[in-house]
Amino acid sequence: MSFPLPADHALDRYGRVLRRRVLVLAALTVAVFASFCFDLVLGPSDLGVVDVLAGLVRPESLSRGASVILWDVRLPYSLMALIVGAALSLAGAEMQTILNNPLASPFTLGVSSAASFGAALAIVVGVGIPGLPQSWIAPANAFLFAFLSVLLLQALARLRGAGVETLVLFGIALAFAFNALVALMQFLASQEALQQLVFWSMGSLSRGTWENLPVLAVIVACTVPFSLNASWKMTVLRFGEDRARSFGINVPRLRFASLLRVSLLAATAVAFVGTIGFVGLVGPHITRLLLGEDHRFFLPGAMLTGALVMSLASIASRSLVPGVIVPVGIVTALVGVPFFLALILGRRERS
Amino acid sequence: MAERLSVSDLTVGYRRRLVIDRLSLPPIGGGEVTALIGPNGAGKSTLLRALAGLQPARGSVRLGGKELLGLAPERHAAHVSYMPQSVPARVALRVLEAVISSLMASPLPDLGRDSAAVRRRAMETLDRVGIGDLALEALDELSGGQRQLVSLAMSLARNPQVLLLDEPTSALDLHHQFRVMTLLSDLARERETVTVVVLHDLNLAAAHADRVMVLAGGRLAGHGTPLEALTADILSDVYRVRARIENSASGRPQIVVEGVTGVTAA
Ligand SMILES: Nc1ncnc2c1ncn2[C@@H]1O[C@H](COP(=O)(O)OP(=O)(O)OP(=O)(O)O)[C@@H](O)[C@H]1O
Ligand SMILES: [Mg+2]
Repeated sequence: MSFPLPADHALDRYGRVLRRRVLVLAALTVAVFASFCFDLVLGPSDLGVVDVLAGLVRPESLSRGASVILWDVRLPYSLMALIVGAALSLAGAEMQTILNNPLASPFTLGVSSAASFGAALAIVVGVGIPGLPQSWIAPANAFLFAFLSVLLLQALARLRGAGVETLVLFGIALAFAFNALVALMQFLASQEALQQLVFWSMGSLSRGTWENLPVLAVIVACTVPFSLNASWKMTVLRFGEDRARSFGINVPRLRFASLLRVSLLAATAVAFVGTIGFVGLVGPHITRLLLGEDHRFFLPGAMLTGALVMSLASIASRSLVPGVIVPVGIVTALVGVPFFLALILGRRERS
Repeated sequence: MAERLSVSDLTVGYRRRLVIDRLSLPPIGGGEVTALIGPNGAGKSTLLRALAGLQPARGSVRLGGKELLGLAPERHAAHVSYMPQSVPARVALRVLEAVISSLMASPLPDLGRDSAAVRRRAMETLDRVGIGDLALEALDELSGGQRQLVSLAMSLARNPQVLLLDEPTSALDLHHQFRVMTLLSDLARERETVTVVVLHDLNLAAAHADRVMVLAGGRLAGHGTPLEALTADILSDVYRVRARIENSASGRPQIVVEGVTGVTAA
């Protein structure tokens, strides 16, 4: 028969939907790469596109100074933007699904407050894990506290049957408690420590170095396979806990595993670059508008979108005020909001 | 031979409230549609959730010779499919994807993860439910009734031995109510499925169910064919209404409510 049956027709159209999504992912990848290159080229010293590309392939083609600028200043900064953006956006996407709340972000349950407290302990009181080099004490503390706070959260939620509402309420309580502790530290801190603490909590990519970058990259690389592996289960969880459980999914376990991944990603990101809030909220939203909530596309899409938003923010952070690098945490929202608004308005028009 | 579902000594409750206390039911046959009716708060949803393995319960729920209570979630889901009372939230997925996701959530013995077969099964189910033309629509742009049909398709697609549906017709128009109930009878006969449907529309139950169970206060207040179970006395006891039962030519009773009885001692 040459005339297609309606069912085949629908399946064909679905095939096209899937192909279109692959194309969107590819386009995002290209955009991320373009933004990354632009980010590398941008800056006060006049390194052109050609110089940069040549310098990346053959570092010896650059002068000593130019090579230092490219390899030790710009590259870690720009790479950090990509990885942090991808990590936070992925963490936000998972958080929104497991908490069934589009307003959730990686920091909803107090991860960043706990991290700030850990850092404050290191900076103000000097308490930290013994045996670490000086520059690692604050990040290590931040990570430790962020991670412990999630374990504490899970233990508390277990006591009460692990419903989502309970989890969120405990998370909010934890965030308030840690915020109060940080405020107390700030109140007690010396002028110098206070300044250091404030700067620490203002997210900045300048802290990206060849030492901490690989750590974050490895953590992202280790968590992503687990996220992707859970993508069908996460998709079904969108239909509610009962529905997911009736399909044989162990929802508390799924949620805990996801929460561990989220906290690992968020805690590491906070530890190295401070709190960068907006991308974890808005990255997933942009992705949802572009790709829908089939988590096979949604999760990788969120990583790419996050990387793109952060990379654009990184560009803006260095070009907003000439000669000054504005902390990227401040800039992210400035860049992300118009982008976000455009998408929402565009969607309204279509429907 | 169709397997039967036997419930005995079932006790289900919430944190501070026992809803069902040592309930035993007559065996629920495969290949026929059993309507579960009863007033608000009677424990219908609670019973269904317990049968679906979602609510901790004591006692015994056997499918043929196999005990279902306490089975690991994934094993349980291979036999039983459940449709929650609430219409699904607005999720950013296409209708077809929703059904596909319900097939991919946990592996099904007869389907596995072959994506072409999964897609075909999902599409077939949508066609049978009568919403094949919505396959590519966005779930968050559907009406409440349409979403309820999608939710039904998600449960039916898994082709279970036991199908538990909590008010699958509550948001549907007359056409779709009739269509869904006929589909359930057909599927039950084709696949010998144990089908338990919670309904509030007694005439729908009377017209389409093979058996009716009346639940009130967590106890069985009556059961049998629609004619046996839907009597004026039972309706008066359970629903506190004055009802007239008319026998239609088809042999199915018709319920006409003429008024409510005064507030009872409860
Ligand atoms: N999550 C819960 N926690 C505590 N009690 C509950 C909960 N859900 C239901 N109940 C109680 O259990 C009893 C039975 O509720 P259930 O939902 O099973 O009734 P139902 O027969 O399905 O009613 P309806 O026709 O309104 O859907 C009610 O008294 C209700 O208050
Ligand atoms: Mg109910």
